[in-house]
Amino acid sequence: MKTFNVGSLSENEVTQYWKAALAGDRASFRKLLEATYDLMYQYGQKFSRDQELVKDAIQDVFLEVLEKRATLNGDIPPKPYLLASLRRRLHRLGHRSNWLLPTGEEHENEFEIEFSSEHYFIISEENRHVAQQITSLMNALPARQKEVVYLRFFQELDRDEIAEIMHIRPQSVSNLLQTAFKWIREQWKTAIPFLLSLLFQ
Amino acid sequence: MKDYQNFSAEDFLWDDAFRRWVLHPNAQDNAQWESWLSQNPEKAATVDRARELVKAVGPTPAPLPEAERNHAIGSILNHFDEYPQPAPNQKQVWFAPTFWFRAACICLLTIGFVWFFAKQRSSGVNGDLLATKDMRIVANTGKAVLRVKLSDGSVVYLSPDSKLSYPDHFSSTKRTVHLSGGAFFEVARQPGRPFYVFAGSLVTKVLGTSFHVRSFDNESNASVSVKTGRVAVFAREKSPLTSDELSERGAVVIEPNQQIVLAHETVKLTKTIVPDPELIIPPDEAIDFNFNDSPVSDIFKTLQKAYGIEIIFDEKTMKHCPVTATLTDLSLYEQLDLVCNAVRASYEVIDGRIVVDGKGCGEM
Repeated sequence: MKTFNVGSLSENEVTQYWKAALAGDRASFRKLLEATYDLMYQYGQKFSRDQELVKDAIQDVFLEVLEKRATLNGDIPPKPYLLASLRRRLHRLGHRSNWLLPTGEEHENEFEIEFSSEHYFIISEENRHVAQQITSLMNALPARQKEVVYLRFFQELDRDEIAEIMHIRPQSVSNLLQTAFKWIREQWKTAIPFLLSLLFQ
Repeated sequence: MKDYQNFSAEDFLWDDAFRRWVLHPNAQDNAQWESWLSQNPEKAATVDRARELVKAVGPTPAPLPEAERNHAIGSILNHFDEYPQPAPNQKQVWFAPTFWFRAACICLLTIGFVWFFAKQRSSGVNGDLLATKDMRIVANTGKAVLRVKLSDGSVVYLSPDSKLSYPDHFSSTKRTVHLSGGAFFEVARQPGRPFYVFAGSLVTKVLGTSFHVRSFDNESNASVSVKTGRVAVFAREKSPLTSDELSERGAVVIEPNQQIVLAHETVKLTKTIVPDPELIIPPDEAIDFNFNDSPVSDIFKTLQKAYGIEIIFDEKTMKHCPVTATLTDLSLYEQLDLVCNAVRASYEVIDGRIVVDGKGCGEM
């Protein structure tokens, strides 16, 4: 069973708030916002560096939830729906601003993410080195593989949920993940066999 | 539980069950993993490393500042009433604006208080922190280590519940920061411009190196330990001294894997060895810890080189003791125990050095 947390709340609690918010409870709507806002902002930022654009898109997503609340399913976890909706909207907004401002950035819609290990202080030098190697390999992955890895491990979503968000078939999600890890493992083995033998018996 | 027998730290990093245990621990997972570890004690080090990797590896965080986030959430909520209520609740709608008005007031007040006190501090109400205008104070109230970059390129990893104050720009002759709590420093090397850390009654002076300082008000000891380079540590008198008139008499110099402990009660500095000494040789210069019929004196010399800790022994008596041992993957203390046991010697840590005492094995 999946029992991961969204923010500091369990997924179950978030689904409860989602259901109550759809039924018109303002306090639950606020709890839902507080539980999901940071995750959505983090994900949205991977598509656009324009903070205001991301914030506007998140606002639109939630206003759409309010608008459509009679028709939305209150019994499913809201996270995949919210992230999918944000992704669609950012693509649309990105296209529109590109159309209005043809000189704008070309790669506004490319999933850009940087993995790092710098924000957590690793005590041992050797392990810090390993973490850096892993993140630099992750950073070298193609955009779509990176996005799958990000959603799978850092937004803790399952295969079907990722498929829904990225608008691809579940099998493609598995393929992308497999390709990514096959490559990482190969690089890992050829690039630093010595380190490997030193650290992992 | 699945078979983790052959998992490396890097395999654990991508294992769902393992990640869940590290990131969202619950009683059931804890019990399962702990029982697995007690059945597989040799995997403890791998699991420790993997735990660190899971916590460290992730997307670069770029969070929205708290105030902006709350503002954004607030403005979404403001639209709530524009949409038709499937189940209208008049009372709540009435209450809501009052609630938000109150919440906003509390937020503003809190921000005001924090700002006011931060300003008070930096303008010298607290005598322990330097009193100049361009001082910055960073307090880590969170649960994770906070990375602070200083203008000279030095980096401070501030522990939770700790506070660091430092100037926007250092003077041309010295760099001074004040610490309350714990921190790990990576000081940019600048000969001629020493770096001082004032922490309670401990002063640490360095040129360029990395080291830990621990000086929490509620602990009876303060300590400094060195990772790379050399640092000088001295105790500060109770009178408020600035680094200009600082007496550096009685300074104790420590090197990697050594640490200084200051007992607040006696104001006495004791030099010792860090609890878990690390190899100071870079990993690509591996040391061979396999000894085959080697004189024990050679083993001691190898350990001394590997950890940078002086080992004092009687060369004459020890050179006739041949030892065969595999010391790979053991801590320094385990290595010393094994070797000393083999030649019926004993050792003590005295003044940051290891002193071996034994009768030797007799001439052959």
